[in-house]
Amino acid sequence: MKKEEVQEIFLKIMKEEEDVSAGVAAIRTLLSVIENYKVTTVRELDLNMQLAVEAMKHCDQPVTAISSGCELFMRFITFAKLDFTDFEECEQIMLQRGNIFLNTLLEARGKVAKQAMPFITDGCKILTHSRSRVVLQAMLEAAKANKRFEVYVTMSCPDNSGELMHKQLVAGGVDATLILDSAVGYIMEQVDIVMIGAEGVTESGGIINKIGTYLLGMAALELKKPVYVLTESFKFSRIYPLDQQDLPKEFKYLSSVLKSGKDLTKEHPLVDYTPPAYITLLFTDLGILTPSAVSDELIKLYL
Amino acid sequence: MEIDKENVVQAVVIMDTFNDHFNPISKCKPMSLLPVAGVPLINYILESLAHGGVGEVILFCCQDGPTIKDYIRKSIENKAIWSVTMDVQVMMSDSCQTMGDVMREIDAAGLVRGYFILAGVNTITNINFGALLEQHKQLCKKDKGAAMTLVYKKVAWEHPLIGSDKPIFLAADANTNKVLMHHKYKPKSTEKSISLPLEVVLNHSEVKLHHNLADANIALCSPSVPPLFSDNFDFQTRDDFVHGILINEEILASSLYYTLLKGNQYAAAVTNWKTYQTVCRDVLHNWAYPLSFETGSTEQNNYLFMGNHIFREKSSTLSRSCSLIEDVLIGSQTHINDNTVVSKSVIGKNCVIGNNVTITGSHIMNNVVIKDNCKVLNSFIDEQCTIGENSVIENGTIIASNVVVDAGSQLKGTLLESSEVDKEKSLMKSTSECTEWENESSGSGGDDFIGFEKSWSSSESCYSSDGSDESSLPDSPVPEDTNIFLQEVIDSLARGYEEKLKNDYLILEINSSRYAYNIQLHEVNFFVVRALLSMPVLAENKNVLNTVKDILKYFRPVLSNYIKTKSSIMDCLRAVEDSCIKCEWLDGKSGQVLHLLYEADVVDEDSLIEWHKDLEENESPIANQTSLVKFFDWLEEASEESDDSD
Amino acid sequence: MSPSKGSGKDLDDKFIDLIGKFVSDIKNGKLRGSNNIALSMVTLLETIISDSQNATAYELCTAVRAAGRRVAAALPHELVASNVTRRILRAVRDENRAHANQVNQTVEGSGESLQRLVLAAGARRATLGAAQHDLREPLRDHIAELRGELESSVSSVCGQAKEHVHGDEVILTYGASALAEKFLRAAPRTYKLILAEGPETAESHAMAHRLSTAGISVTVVSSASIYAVMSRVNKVVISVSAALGGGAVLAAAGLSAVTQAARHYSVPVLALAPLYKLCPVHATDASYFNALAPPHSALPYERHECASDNVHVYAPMYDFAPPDHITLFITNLGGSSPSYMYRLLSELYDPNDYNL
Repeated sequence: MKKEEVQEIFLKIMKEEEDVSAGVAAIRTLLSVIENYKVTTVRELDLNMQLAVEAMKHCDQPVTAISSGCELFMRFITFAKLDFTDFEECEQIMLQRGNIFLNTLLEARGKVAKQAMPFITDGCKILTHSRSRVVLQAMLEAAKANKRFEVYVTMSCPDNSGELMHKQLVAGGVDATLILDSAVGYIMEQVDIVMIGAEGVTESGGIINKIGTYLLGMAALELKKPVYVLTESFKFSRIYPLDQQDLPKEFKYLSSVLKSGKDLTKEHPLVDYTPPAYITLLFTDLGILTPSAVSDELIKLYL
Repeated sequence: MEIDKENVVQAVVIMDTFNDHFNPISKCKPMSLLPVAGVPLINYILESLAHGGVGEVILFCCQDGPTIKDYIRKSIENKAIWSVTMDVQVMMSDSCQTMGDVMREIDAAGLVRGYFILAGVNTITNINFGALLEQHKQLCKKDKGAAMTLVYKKVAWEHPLIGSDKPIFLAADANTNKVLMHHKYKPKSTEKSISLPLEVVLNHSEVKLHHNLADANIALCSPSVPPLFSDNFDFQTRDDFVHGILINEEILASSLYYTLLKGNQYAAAVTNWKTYQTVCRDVLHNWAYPLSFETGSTEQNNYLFMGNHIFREKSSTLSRSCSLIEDVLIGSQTHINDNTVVSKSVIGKNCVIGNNVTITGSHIMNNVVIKDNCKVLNSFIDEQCTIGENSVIENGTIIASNVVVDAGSQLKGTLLESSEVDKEKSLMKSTSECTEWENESSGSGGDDFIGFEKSWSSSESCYSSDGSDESSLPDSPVPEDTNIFLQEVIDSLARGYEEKLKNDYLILEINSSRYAYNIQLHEVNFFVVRALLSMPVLAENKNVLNTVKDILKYFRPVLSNYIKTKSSIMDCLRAVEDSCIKCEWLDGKSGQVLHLLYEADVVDEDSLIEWHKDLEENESPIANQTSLVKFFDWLEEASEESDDSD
Repeated sequence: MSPSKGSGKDLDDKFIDLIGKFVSDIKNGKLRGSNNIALSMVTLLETIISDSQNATAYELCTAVRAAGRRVAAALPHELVASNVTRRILRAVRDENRAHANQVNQTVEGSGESLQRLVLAAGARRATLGAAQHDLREPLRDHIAELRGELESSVSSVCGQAKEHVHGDEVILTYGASALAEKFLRAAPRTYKLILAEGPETAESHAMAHRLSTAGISVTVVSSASIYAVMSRVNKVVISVSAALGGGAVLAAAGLSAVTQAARHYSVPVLALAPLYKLCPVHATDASYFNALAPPHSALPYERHECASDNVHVYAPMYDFAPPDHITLFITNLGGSSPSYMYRLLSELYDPNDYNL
């Protein structure tokens, strides 16, 4: 199995289906790896998986989601009861369960959107940061349910992904306004709630999200606005950063940048860490959780 | 579960207001189903009675009884909250014209067994009836003659409940709360002084004078109240009763008391459009808690609160650009389109409001379609109406149900009703002298309330010194009293016929009615015969003549009592003529009727011939009827025969 | 079993009558106090369970859920009734699971979790179908246990008073509440109490009178001066209408001012919340926050302002205090911090039942 092939599959999925998040794409890639690359022992399979994950992490795609999704998948594989002597059968079972797993994850976004609905009240103003497909889906569903609300979207440089979010919201019939990242403090007094997505959820209950989220959280806490994070459950990861520097480098910088050996202190990070104190509630497909509940969930899984 | 019949608290609710303040709406549906803030009036009174611990309610309907009965039955099927603890009986009577008649009927039927609560259906209140009735009972223990405790609510001077209704002046003994003087004024009356009898002040150590009371149409009554009504035929309304008792206190050995409601208790009566608007607003503002615009529905909390007392039902849809300003209630499945502005209004279910519509201070019932660019100000639009584009409806217009208003119409203060013939709108009246909507602004120049100025009809009270000009209906040739008398006689006779009562009793009834309405003797004769021939059983029965024969046979004693002299026979014949002209079931049967009368020996030959001559002279329409001609031919032959045989 | 929008068809007529009677008793004021309402609701549901024809888990769940929905629809502000329904639903599910003995790897707890996700357990949503057992007998035990817990909840909460209230302390409480009164009586009587008048001043005064006759030194202050006295207060003890998911609190109007002042002066706030008051709803369920009480307490109807058309008088019924204002929740099982609420909720109720 070659790295480039894995990367090709992965990038193909990412390019063709815009709607799919990096984590799900990664899991699909891993599933196709099991399918396509025949091995004879579990150990070999394990190795293949790890190589594939490594490959994907070097794709210049957001690593946070890839890493947590893949870890969950790996866990899933090791949990599988493999009492069968025939490896073929094992593989079949794994594939089967993998697909179940994948299908559950695909439903996750819908569930999160449904839970967020009652929190979007009639006449409320929402502030969101950068582009999150989950938040987009939640808002489009609320618009369909005839709720009247306004959205402020930050432009979110350096890639201006907020502009795409704005375009998609307007196309869906939502009243959206694009604002500068630096205008967050200015606009905060006018909004009612802050709704953001997350690329990863840490064990402490904080989130890893596009750069600028931390500032947003601080402004919201100061002006006493609730911050709601909409995320799927496979983004929960086991890291426990205590400050911004504790975040792994692979999360913060693109792999190409890391490889080129530039001086990282002069590079702009892509993500930051928002501690749990700034987050009011997390909406996940497992339910509405407070930040302290996240570690509980993770403990139940890993220990 | 044993229900102790003796201890059940009873209440009597009178379902009609006996006036036409709510025309034309009250013509098509009973007053009790008029929605206040989206809920029919009857639900409010039933739920508040149930909360107050009342066990048995008697609903007395004078019109539209079956509709109300149906409604109650449906509510019980749907397990309405009040049906669990309360037993509701619907009594129907077609012959009651006033509240006094209702009380007399109640007395006659013996429905009430003790102390009871008397309320009108137009009352909205959240008081604890049980406690108030206990208070009244305690009072009665101290004063054996206490007949009634009137319930009033103290409001501010400028409150529209007083300003748009009849203000009351009350003088009472401060220690015992006994009513000493009670005076109701016409709305906007300019009387500036009151005369207080000296005895009132001399005989009581402390007298309280009240002028800021709102009458909620609730009274707590002792068992002596219905007999008092029966004894005094001239008590037509509760005010008559009050006046009568105050004037004749020693004779009637009864006294009146009053009680004021405490802080968090609310009571108001919907008596005219202005009070309707005020009460709607109060219900929306939650003054009548625990009653609210969700009363009567088993599922609560279906409304979203949007601040400023704006409530919309969860299934209603609003466009993004529409704005709701304040005091708005929007019913389920209603859709409001772009740029529409709604304020201080109640909109019912399933309505479609178009673009650019302005609705202010109005009440719109269910299933109404208002097309684009309309303005609706201070008006009431009943169900199933359609208002065309670019219309302006303002100044207190009332549109009854099923009316289609054309595009571009301008209606100011009109009453619109759909006529049954062609199901299109027909303008009943426009800017008449008597019925006119007024915009009354309480000082600040805003269009606050729907105004309604109308000269009060004389059926209100015969003690008040109001003028007796009636609401001018288009044609009312027969003076009211005689009409009523006729109706009463018809009712008596119909009842007598059905229940096979003794003729003596019927004669007694007719006589008492005659004295009550002061009818002349010859008129009595005329009307008795007229009544006989107008009985409802005749209209229903196919075989008219047989029925007439039966009736005549049965009522022979009655007839012979009245039709004795020549002049009475002439009256009788004239009545027959009148009936044959007016009653369709007697069409073409005049001859046969006369034949029957002749056979029954009620009328004699000479009078017949004389009358026939009169008919021909006056060219009466029935003179040339075939049956009549035939009869008189036969009569002549018979007389010739009898002459011959002599 | 996914909650479906069931209609009254799920319930027999006699049950609907019982529910109607229950609702009208509460509305007429015959049944008062959250403890009494909870106990009556348990009795009602017990009757429904014992009288229902089919005793399979699915049938019972449907019936109980339908009853809970009806009561919640008719009385949206009685959260205690819905909580009791959820407890019983959880009891049914637990019994069913214990009987069923399904997957070898019986997953602990109920509801979703990452573990469940990863195991891709097909029967993740605890199927209640195909149950053959008559669950009535074991349920009866559960219900008796629940009833015992409800009856003893007040005393267990008050039993903790000694740990939290010490002599020589100045305690502040807000408004009139039966639970707070009992709690304060259970504590050693050497502390000083400051009672801030709630929205119903007459009841607050009556409570102050009773406490003072019990030998506690009480000072009644108006709610406007809460901030002024807060600096001298050692602890704030309040009783809540409901403890929400996330650790927030729904309480009588005016409480938010008390907790804000307490937070400013870093005074610990103890919220008395027996377990039947724990509610899995979340803060923004506007129907609670926009509930309006009669406006007479704010402005009497006789005032001439009410005659004017332009005056709006509001008296909100509930007040909301966010989780960071509360220091400790005192429940039957002991004290717990607001951030631990989610755990208690997941132990008491099944997540499928959060939305009845």
